[in-house]
Amino acid sequence: MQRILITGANRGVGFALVQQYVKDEDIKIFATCRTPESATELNALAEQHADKITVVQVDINDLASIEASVIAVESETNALDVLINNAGINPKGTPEANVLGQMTAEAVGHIVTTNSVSPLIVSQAYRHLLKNGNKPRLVMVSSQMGSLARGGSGSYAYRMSKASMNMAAKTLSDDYAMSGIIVVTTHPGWVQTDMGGAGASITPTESATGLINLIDGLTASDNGKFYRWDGSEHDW
Amino acid sequence: MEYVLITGASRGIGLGLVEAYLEAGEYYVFATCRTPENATDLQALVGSYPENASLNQLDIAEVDSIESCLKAVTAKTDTLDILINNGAVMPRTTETRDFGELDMNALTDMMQVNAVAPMIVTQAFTPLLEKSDNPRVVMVSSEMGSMQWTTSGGAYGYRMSKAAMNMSARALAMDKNLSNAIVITTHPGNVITKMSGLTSGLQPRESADGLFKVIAGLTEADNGKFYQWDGREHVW
Repeated sequence: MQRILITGANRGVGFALVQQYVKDEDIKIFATCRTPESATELNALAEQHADKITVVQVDINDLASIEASVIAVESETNALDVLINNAGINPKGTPEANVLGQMTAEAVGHIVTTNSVSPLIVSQAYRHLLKNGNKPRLVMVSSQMGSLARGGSGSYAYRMSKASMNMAAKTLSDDYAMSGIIVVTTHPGWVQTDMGGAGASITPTESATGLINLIDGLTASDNGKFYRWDGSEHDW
Repeated sequence: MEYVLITGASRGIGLGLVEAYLEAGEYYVFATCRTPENATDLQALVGSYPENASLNQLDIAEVDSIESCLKAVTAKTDTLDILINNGAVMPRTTETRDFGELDMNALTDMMQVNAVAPMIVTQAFTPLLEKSDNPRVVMVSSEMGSMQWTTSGGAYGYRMSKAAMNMSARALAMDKNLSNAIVITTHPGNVITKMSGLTSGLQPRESADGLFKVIAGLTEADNGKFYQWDGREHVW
């Protein structure tokens, strides 16, 4: 049985990952989100597949919430094979995080923390379960906007947070404390989600299917790399 | 006469930079640091160039302090030619360094000082930079912010904050609200300073002289690039 934990699983790419993974015969999905009581679609899916999906509350910015979620997961399994740090925020239309002349340290800092520090802390909290996993894999759902080689203007907070998230992945991949765990960071594509907007180029299902193919096929030689949803490698 | 502002000027590379600019002549230097009253070396240096330097209080993580510093600078000039974001922290605590011991608040504070604050400082001084014929913005970052160079674990907070700082330089370089400026990020070398804790390597002044030369030679084609103190380009 594959045991998988996905953060930010109530919508967008996170929810699409749950929808695709649940098609597997032998799978256990811990689908986390900040406010399960309003995650209508996820709850409905979890009800249909009560044996395969457990919805777990996690606010990734709240250490107590992370720690409580570890205890909840531990009550069902002592191992995770895949941890997908998918939860993130992109404050579109918020000049305080995007536009030179209007940014505030608080708004930018909040994005940077949520998108890079918190996934690292979640990874730390679940390391012991990953260590018990079968071919354990840690996946960051990052963005091409975190690529320094690519660069780009505006969206300061998001770009900085995803560069930082990529660095967290790269550092984890090199850390003896994580030996045996394959760590990758990913660009999920420009996806038609609340975050990506309706004009984006691929559907959440296409993104999730690509990411799952990628994750299924990961080997030790992929450790520390940056991949697109379609399996091609991305520049740093 | 060009106007230069340097953050974190009380010691190490920052102090070396103040010295390099003052010895070169033709510059007026705003040497800033968090606690000028304790900066005895900087006080002495600035004191010997009363016509060409001032010592200004600036805590880059405090918005009010940035505003006060901007006011003090504006009282002297409406133009800033060179802004060097050198101020940074590298606490020797396991809570920002070691996986297993990482602390969300400590990491957040570090991201705020090393990555968000320099960008906010740059934003604050943008109106003065825009008045220069040849404005330059320099991030004193680190090779530890390089994805491709990173080959070992640990030092999470420092690595992530410098990757994010590099990304801020990339975004500033392409920002139409700072369109005539040349923005670069730099690796100052492995320098013997209180912060680095190194006991062998470059002297702060050697690094500062190298950076001075790099900055003096900047052209449009350098915008958005990552340079070492010796003028060689660094990989992302």
